Amino acid sequence: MEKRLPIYCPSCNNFLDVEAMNCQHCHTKVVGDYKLPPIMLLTAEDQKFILDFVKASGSIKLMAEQMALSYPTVRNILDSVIEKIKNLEN
Amino acid sequence: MAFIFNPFTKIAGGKALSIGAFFALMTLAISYFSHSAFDGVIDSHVIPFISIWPYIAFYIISWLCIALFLGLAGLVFSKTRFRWIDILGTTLLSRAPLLLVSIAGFAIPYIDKDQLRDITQIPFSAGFFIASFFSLICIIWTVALYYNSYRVCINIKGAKAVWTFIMALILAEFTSLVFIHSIHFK
Repeated sequence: MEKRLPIYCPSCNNFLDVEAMNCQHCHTKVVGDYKLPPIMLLTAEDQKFILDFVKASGSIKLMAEQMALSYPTVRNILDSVIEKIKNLEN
Repeated sequence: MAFIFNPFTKIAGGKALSIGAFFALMTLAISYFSHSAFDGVIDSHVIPFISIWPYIAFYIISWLCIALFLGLAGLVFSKTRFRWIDILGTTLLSRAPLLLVSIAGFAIPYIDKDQLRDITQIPFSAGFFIASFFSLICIIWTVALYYNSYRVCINIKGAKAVWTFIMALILAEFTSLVFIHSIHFK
């Protein structure tokens, strides 16, 4: 089963922060208060789009071919992801 | 169903331009015989010309006018860096339903100014009304395609998309009529 990274609080629906990290090798545990980076706060679909976009060397044309969508449609998805990241940063 | 009103999520740019050009050639070839002149962005009238050139000129002027004004609206009202090839391709493809209008033109007789003075002289038939109504539906379909072309290529949404599109369409229609009526063909 694929585990999803929880980003929203089930109680108040605000973004969750990271409190503890664990080394799988030596079992050292780091405890603190860390914010998730804006990319991690995007939906899984948007994160996949960013990954694929980087793998396609930032080529909208190549992305359009891979996604079987038109160039302006892919550019519009990219614009909406940029807009979401900007809103998360502010 | 969504695809016939908005194929532009899948087709744009050079591909839309080539498919649109294919439909344009077919439309023009038929319109020469059915005498359907597309003398405006959303106009179609039966006008018998001797040569094919007026039909070609009217079609190209109308297409360039709508592409130009939708592109200009995009430059003014949208932050997106769009490509002109997408606007040109998708607007040309939006005119594909005019192929059906050019076929319907066979059932619509030419009405000259003298006949318009005395409407009883016009030989109205059931075919005339059916073809006219069918042409109207196809032109509405073309306008819907223009709108979706604008929405996808310019990345504009909501009420802003609607009113800027209406404004661009009116300006394009007016400009195309000015250009077309300044040309005198036989």
